[in-house]
Amino acid sequence: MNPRWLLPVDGSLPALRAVDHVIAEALATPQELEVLLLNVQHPLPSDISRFVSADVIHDYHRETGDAALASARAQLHAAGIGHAEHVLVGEVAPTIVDFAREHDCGQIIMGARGLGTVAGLLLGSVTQRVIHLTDLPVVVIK
Amino acid sequence: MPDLASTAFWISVLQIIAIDVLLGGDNAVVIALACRRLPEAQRNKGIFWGVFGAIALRVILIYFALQLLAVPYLKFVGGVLLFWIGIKLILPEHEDAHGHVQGSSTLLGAIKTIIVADAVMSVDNVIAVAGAAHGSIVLVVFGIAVSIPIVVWGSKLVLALMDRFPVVITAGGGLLGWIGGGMLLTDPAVPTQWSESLPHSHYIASGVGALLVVALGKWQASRQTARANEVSSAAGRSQVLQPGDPK
Repeated sequence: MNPRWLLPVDGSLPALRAVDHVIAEALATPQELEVLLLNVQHPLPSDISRFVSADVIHDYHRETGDAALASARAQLHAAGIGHAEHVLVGEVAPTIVDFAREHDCGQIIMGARGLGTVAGLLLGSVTQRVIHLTDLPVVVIK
Repeated sequence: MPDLASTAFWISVLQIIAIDVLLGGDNAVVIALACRRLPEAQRNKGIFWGVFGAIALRVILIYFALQLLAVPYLKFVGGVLLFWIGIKLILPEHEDAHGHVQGSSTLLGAIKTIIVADAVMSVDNVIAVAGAAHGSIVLVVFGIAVSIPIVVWGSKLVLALMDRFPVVITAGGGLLGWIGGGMLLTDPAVPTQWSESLPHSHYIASGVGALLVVALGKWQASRQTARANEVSSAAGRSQVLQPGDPK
């Protein structure tokens, strides 16, 4: 079975450097890599969702997720590396970890710090939480 | 005139701004989401009237807010209401919790959604501002004035804030609980000896309110997450937009 790598991205610069790293690794390995590109959307508060129908919110999450995936997709595409894309809604770190387990990923590659820089300094970043929660090897790209 | 040198005054100002960003911003997000599927010309019209309604309702409600809060027991109602608003803010969206309104692509459908949302959220916003203002009409007017630009331009700001710093939502819920707890104690029906006999009673009531809202919200949210994750692993939630073709 080909190695399957999970690449969670949020459109931030470190995430894009993680994509570059995966591309370099993929071109260097003789095996075919299966790359799963993932974006996790934070759920909207129920203060908002109680007024708006589920499919409108669904659309909103899909579009924002799609935008967050766009540059990573373009990078992989330019390098000629096939990948699958997923957009999920949930608490970010646990959702990434669950997804990696459910899809039998061999490792998780992610940026050291996503968009939440200041909050990351104060509260620990999503990456730190993923490392804490998962049993899989995590490659952190600075 | 308010005492511009007092810390309490400036704390109220900051509380009111935080409330406006969260509740006014949420109102703006609902308006934007309700109009998403409309054709462009109608969408702008829908957003304009939605924002207009939200602001008009807030201005009208100011006149009632302070008078009503002087009536015995109404601060109890307001305080408990704030607990509930805070919990709803912390709770993430959930399949069952969505509005029954259909995702209609007609102007009429969007208007219905917006009217209901404007009415409910303006009341929420005004109660919270009135609670934080501690009876100062200057602060109430200030609070409503601040909410106006936020309702007009704030939807992007609030969405970005929630995406990058999800903790602000929890903090906002806690703030609403804090104000609600303080409101319960200052109800005209509560004998003043109560608050005088216990030192720092206002801080205790506020702190208990904040803890209550955050604890209840987080507890409910954790119960939902277990179920939400199951939903998200289904095909409907995880969109495979481009299947991985071998290179």
